[in-house]
Amino acid sequence: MACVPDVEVGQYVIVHAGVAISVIDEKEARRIFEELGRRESEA
Amino acid sequence: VKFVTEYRDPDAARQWVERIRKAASRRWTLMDVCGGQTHSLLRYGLESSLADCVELIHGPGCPVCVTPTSAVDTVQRLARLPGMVVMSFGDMLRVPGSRESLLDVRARGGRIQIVYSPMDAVRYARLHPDDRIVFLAVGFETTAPATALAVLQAERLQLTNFSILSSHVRVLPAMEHLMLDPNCRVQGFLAAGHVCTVTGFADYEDFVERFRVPVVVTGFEPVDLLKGIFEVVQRLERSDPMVVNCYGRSARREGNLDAQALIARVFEVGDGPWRGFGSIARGRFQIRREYAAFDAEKCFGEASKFSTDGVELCMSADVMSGRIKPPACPYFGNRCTPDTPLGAPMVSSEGACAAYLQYRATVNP
Repeated sequence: MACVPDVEVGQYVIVHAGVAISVIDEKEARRIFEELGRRESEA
Repeated sequence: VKFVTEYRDPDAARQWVERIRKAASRRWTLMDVCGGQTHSLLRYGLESSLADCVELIHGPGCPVCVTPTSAVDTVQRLARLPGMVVMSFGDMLRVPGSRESLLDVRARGGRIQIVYSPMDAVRYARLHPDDRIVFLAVGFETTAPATALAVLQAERLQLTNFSILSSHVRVLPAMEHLMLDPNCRVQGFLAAGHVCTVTGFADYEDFVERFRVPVVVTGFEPVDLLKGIFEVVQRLERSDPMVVNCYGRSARREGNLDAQALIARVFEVGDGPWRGFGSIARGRFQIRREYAAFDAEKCFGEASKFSTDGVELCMSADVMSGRIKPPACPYFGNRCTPDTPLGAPMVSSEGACAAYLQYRATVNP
């Protein structure tokens, strides 16, 4: 956890070679699908 | 699994494929520089489903594949010293040196062990004070923080039997190296999301400014990759090269500052050998003088000097720079297979040749 000191229980992290390198941003995570829905309705 | 399965949704993937098709007025040539992305592109058949509008070149994105033969030879020389135990990631054991692989050395009784994290090597060193442990550290900026942590932990524990042979490399100098080749066909890059998670992508803005090619930071799942390809194609169609982040759930512009601080504390940037590319300026992380006690290159004198890479049959340089596709290599699938690899790209679970062989049903002939 040396690289993600502010992580809280319940959050998701990406672990690489035994080290957590980021905390998943859940709002950003959903964006790729929201964009798809939006473009769909525009079409 | 949260944050994985939804990015493999076939319907979403199909919609992105359609969007890419609609956006592309011609066939564009893109490069990924991440072995994980190479495998996803082939495993999910993305490469073939986009073949009419996008050519994908799988660049030097597999850390095992770019580790020079000389590093493998060097660590084998160290393995012959008394009391020595060599540790590295599993794939590294199968990579051929100029005569043999670490697995061959182990088959003859050499003490070679697989670890999943450099911290495991530190733990082993602490529990076995009579052994001398060398960890062959490979990987990009993503992996360097783990190695840095291991060095700092070894210092904290005052270990005298632990050292690192660093073959850590930096992605951006390799991309520059490729773009400076007048025969380079790459028109846009998919940048590795996990490297950028650590480094951020401010440096890519200068790269885009200099070479006028779009760079899109991308994740590893099919939907991530398709969205990334869509963004690159859109930028190319509009002649508007810029850096776009499509992996916002993990990568931020400034990167992970704690991880960068760890790297900077233990490593400094140097020129270094890449398999298939020769020396790349500023392409390597070497251990700072302050931590020389944990630097195998400093600890073991002559035995640890990197030798120059000799001539190889393996055409990995042509594969990684996009001059040929793996099946065009005369040894692909016959003399060179994952069981009898001539070169690193056929070994690694991230190597382009291994991916083509494993998923060749999905690859266009």
